[in-house]
Amino acid sequence: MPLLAEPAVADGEPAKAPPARRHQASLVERFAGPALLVAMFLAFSATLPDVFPTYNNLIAVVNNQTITAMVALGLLVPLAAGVFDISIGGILTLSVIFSTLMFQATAGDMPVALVILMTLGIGILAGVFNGFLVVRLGIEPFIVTLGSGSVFIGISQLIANGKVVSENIPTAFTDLGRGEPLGIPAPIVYVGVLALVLGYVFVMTPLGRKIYATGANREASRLAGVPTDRILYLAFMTSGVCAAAAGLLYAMRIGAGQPEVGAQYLLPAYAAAFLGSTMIKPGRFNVLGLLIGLAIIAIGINGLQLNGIPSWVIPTFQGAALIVAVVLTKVRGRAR
Amino acid sequence: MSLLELHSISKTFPGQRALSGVDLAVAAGEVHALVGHNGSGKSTLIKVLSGFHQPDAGSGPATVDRQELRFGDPEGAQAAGVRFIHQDLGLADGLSILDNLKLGSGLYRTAPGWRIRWREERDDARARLDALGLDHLDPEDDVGRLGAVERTEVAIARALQDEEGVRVLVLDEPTAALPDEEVGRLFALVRRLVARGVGVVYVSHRLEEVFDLADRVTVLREGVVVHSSAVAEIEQRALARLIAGGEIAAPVRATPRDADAAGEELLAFEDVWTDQELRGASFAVRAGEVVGLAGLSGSGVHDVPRTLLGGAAVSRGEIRVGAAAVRVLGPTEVAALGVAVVPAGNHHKRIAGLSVRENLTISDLRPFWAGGRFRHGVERAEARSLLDRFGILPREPERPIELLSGGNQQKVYVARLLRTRPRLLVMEEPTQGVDVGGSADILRFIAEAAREHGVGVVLCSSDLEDLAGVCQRVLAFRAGRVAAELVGAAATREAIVEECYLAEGGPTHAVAS
Repeated sequence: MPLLAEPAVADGEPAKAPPARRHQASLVERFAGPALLVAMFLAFSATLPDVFPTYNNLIAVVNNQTITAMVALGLLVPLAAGVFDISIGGILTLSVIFSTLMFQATAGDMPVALVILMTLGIGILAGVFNGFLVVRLGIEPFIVTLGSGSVFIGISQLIANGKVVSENIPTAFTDLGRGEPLGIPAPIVYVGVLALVLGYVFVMTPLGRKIYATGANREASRLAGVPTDRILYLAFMTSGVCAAAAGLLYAMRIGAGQPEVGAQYLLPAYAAAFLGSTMIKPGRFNVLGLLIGLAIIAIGINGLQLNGIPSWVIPTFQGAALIVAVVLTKVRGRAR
Repeated sequence: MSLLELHSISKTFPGQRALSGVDLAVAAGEVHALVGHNGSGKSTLIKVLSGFHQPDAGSGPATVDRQELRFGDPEGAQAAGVRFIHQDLGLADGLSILDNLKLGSGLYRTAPGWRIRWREERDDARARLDALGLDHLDPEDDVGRLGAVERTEVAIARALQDEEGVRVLVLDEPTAALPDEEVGRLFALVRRLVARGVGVVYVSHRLEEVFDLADRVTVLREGVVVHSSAVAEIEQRALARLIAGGEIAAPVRATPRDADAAGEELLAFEDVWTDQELRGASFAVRAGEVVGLAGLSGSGVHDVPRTLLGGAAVSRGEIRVGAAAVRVLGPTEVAALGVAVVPAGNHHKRIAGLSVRENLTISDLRPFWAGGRFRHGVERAEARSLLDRFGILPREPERPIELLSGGNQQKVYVARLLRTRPRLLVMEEPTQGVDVGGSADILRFIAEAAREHGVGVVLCSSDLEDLAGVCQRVLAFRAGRVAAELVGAAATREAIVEECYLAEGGPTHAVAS
């Protein structure tokens, strides 16, 4: 057979049987997470039949996770590309303060669409800033985003003058976060759309493959022709714009901005992303896994709270989920 | 009786005999050069001496000063007064010279409260450096900022801490990283040691150094001592022949050598200087020919792929791809011009975490992108057909890349770039760490790509068999430029070694068949 024969083209698979798939993750590995989610669901339904498995409670649980979900989905891109972004909490804070302040400063006169676009633009700029420091100056992403995240929080406090921003927020703005088109809370719709878009990019486009390749080995991918620098910029811009969108969602739902809001979303976002990377497509950060991971954390905390467990359990549970996820990844790597 | 004696050392690795019955004797106050080509067994012998490798049963004895050494016992070798400077010096950048000197020996002098007596330590370090004639080194300087010679000097000073206890010093290619003009300073230091009765084992690729510095020379080839004599008794050219192994049968050439069949010029280096190794390199490669680049480390051979990938800055001269001069170099930039570069080193190629299929297709995903979605079925089909065509085993596209053998991984990387249909293929050490069968396959792919598809191939290899076997022309690099061109049947293994090892000074010349 000639070495450089025309590539086998679209007309279907060759007749050969597909090769052994034993190197793909086992069913147990892929679906242990979803199974855990189902088990938790059943357990809480059994112990709290009147409170837990109700439409209202479940919709509330999901709706409460939409901000975290939006941050976490954006975070998925840098993580898949092999870099950390811990500035997302800072970007979220900046977004909350900036958008509410725009209304307050103009007595509610600024068009809602303009505020949204400017805020998203700030998220993108923040990502470009992170990307520049990582790509051009070659600084560790962890350090870059640790620093820049703190800078963003500082800027938020500066422009808010340390106070809560809550005046003249138009209802046209808050309705976007409180409405219920088709009977489903709007934030859930936004997150669903974002999840679909990211899932499409990761699975159905060459870009997704290049993101994963960059995360697997940046230098080898670069030498193989992957534009890794551009991928990294894109990754930080995506996490930046998603964090800004999450901040907008927060401002819409709460109708006010306080300059300390972002920090609480960082840990659950990481826990969900890492937990998600142990399931569905183990070893790879993936959208469906992330959503299930987030659901495990949310339902776990909700069920425990309804059972009367005190609030210190929440950070403990989130932190433990993150550690368990990383340990699982490690154990899987060793088993190879 | 000699100071260091090794008797009948053998070492077998799984599937490969690295050393067979090697003897080595080094007298006090003598520099004994150990030479041989890559894979000849030099480093294995050094590592047996250092206790890193356990030799085969029946080897030995090894003695230092009539005292027998236990094999596989690094502390024993240390206690017997044998010191090593490995090619990777093992210095801690970011720490001072003083701290680096202390790294080997352990403890600082302390006052109560574990406070280090810095003044005493500094005086000590100063005295030690002075005693070695290294008065230009300041103990407080950061090792990371030192030049290559100073770093080597620090490593030597560290190895010689307890100088009275040092009997044998082993230097493994200490000058590989040094520019010529600075080698002299290192030699001065070695000569001082020898004058005190230390025995020195000097491993080097550079024959001129052997003649400059050594008293005796031992040549290893394929794990056997093929020659051992006083340096005065042998001539440089004869030594080069011994290293190459003149009596080895000429390899079967994989390609017909149709010098006239060569097509248009694909790549040209014209008087190229880089900030690294190239010092006025000029050569050209045409469509359909396989051109070998040979040379020792530091000769500039490896700067060719590195420069194309944007890893070395061109300070002078011109690089042309096709007819156009190329200003910005890098993997994507040259790929756009139809140039594919396969660098050496697994970490530059292996995208661990992706499957074999994904590793195969990553360089060009466009064929799978149609109608707004990624055609996974088309990709799988192409991956399978690549596995078949390149004989990559096992035929499992979903296997993680890191679970393939070295040879099969290398085939994946060759296939990855050949499927992008480059006009020019540049390969650096394509058969390094690859078993015999895999190497033959890879060379066959190269030859076939050139012969049947008119691809121009540049093969940078330290494997002389490969070069002699597959190349129409071999360019020997020395000191950053093309020192000789061996055309056709003149490109024998022996001739290549001779040209690569020859001392500086000869004019550039061509040898034709």
